[in-house]
Amino acid sequence: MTVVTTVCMSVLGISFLLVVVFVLRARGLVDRSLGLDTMMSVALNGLAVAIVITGQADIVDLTLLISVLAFIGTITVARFVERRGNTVTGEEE
Amino acid sequence: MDTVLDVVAAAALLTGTAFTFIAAIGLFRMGDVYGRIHVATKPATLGIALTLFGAMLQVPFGSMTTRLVVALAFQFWSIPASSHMLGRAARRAHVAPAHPDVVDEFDG
Repeated sequence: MTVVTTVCMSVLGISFLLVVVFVLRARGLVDRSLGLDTMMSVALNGLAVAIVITGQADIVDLTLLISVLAFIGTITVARFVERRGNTVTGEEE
Repeated sequence: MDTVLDVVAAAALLTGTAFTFIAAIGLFRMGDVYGRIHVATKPATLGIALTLFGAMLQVPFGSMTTRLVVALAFQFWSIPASSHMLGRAARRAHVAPAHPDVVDEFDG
């Protein structure tokens, strides 16, 4: 199981870095919010693997917290984009 | 019995991680916002479901299992809702699709 969790954490780390690069290079609010949402998904996966590694009950609550935060954040940005358009103020399209 | 559970959990964890990796790669591969919404939603949901299932098999049965089930159910409810709202917002903000030659009668 240690080998499996190590492989999983490595792949998840690479995925997280990829998503960070995507968020930094994203053009427009939708892409950026989407990248942050994917980042939360990767973090949730990492938490699931961390539960397997440590077996601590505290981390289980963090999964609930992270999923609620990702949902509310994405929905807020979506409402904002719907009213104001896809560009950040002062940013070239 | 423990060995069977370990093998199933390991397979679920590895497959779920692979799907999350696919989602991260797909963000770069897809050509427009709608394709990216697609690729950030479906593989990510499947990946989360598989890894949480693998974690469920490894924790002692009880309150931790219940909370993991609740987290998984919330994911299945929230990810389609949020991605649909993102797609609708992009559509109403006139974000162009990758294939502009498709007949599009929606004027926003």
